Amino acid sequence: MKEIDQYLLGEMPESERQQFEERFVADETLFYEVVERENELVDQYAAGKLGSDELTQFEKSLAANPARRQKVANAKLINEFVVEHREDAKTITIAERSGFFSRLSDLFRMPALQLGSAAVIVAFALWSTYLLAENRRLRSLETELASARTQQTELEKQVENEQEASGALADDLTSARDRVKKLEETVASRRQGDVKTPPEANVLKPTIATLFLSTAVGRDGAPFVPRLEVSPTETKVSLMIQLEKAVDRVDVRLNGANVARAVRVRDRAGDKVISITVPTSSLKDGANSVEILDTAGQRIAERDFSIVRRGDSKE
Amino acid sequence: MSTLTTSSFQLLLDRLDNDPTKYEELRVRIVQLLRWRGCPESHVDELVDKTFDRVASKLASGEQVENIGAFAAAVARFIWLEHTRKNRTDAVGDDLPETPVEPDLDFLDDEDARMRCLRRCVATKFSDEDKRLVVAYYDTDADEKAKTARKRLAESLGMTLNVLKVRACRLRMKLERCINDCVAGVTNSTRQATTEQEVTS
Repeated sequence: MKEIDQYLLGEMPESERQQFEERFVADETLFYEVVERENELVDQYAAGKLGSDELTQFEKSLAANPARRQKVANAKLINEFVVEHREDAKTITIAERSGFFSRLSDLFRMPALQLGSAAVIVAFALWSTYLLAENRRLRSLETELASARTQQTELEKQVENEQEASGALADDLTSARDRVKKLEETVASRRQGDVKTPPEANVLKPTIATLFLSTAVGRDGAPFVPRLEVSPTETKVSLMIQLEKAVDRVDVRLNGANVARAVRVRDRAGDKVISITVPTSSLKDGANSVEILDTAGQRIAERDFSIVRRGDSKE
Repeated sequence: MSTLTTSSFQLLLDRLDNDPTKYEELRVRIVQLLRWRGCPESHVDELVDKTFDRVASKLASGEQVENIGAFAAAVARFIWLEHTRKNRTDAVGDDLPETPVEPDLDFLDDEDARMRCLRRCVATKFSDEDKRLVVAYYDTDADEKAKTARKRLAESLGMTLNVLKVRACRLRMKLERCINDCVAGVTNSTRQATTEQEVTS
């Protein structure tokens, strides 16, 4: 045991260490003795049962051994789990059953009780077996239920996250579908020669305007500033922003205010692009500016654009 | 990146009596050797792959290897040394080590997430029999009685104490690996936000 502890706690000279490693790689028994001893040390440490010398050495080894730090975190929980399921295991292990039946057979060997007790014992044995089986089934069902509930909660969380992400797109899709439906109705009614209603009245006005902010520059090298005209019905603006730098996620600021966090950068035909949707009311008439920041808060891009509200008399 | 070819892998398998389980078992031991040398979980698979690549290519080049296990252990140590040296050089070169420092567990995850992972791993990867074995084997609250309890458990299962120990250790390794992978996945997914966001302000 001393040799194994020396190895595990980093107290073995390097040359011996190498020889020891070559031995356990070739010897299954030794290998699992080392694994078992590490488990024991980790379990004792997690339970606060290591003596002071061992504790000092073990903590020193933790500093140089990230995998062992994870083992410590796991050990506490494995112990909790074991305690939680202790009774469950006890009621059904073969050890318990074989012990019970051997005691039962001993009783049968007592001459005085052979006949009278036999019937009672058999009845008791049957009843106990029934209770054990019921208990086992119940616990198995409870475990299954707990597991199913955990899975349900996780799935609900996932769905919630996905819904958040797809909410804006779903709105857009609904608007687009309504619009297509109205247009189809209008087209059909026009084809049938029913022109009583002016087509414009039947067509749902678009509610989302889209603006693509590219990395393109003008001939003079100055950044190109696109202009977007929005009608009063366009309550949202979808901004697609092309980036020069390849990063996974970015934060977005609009006119100095944080408007989106950890937006995923997508690859579209080789271009790095992000897409966010903002209410038209959050945009200023005239010049607007959007800043892209990496997750460390460093600005990696800035795009200017201009908004003109149709129906306004300014432009 | 793995450079292991089918033919060189076959040479390696030949040295292990053409038995894939022997290869798996050797792999488990090399993984553990690297962990005991201080290799973080995030790099262990990559370095083990490199180890077997190199062992196989040495065999393919005709190198005489008497003890394949001892040879693999020596190669693994060398690969680990190379890895740590490289990271040290990188850190001096541009102040950014290639291997990120393993974060503290307290920061990495919370106990609830880890416990959820444990339950999920047991529910999805363990048979009832395996679960009972883990519970019975590691129920060592009464320290001095642990050996007796394990001996009795081994007898009841019709196996030697040593076979039971190996089985319990393998199950615990499998469980811990599953928990660590699961926690790493949970931690990554909590970092992920939405792909497109609508601003409500």
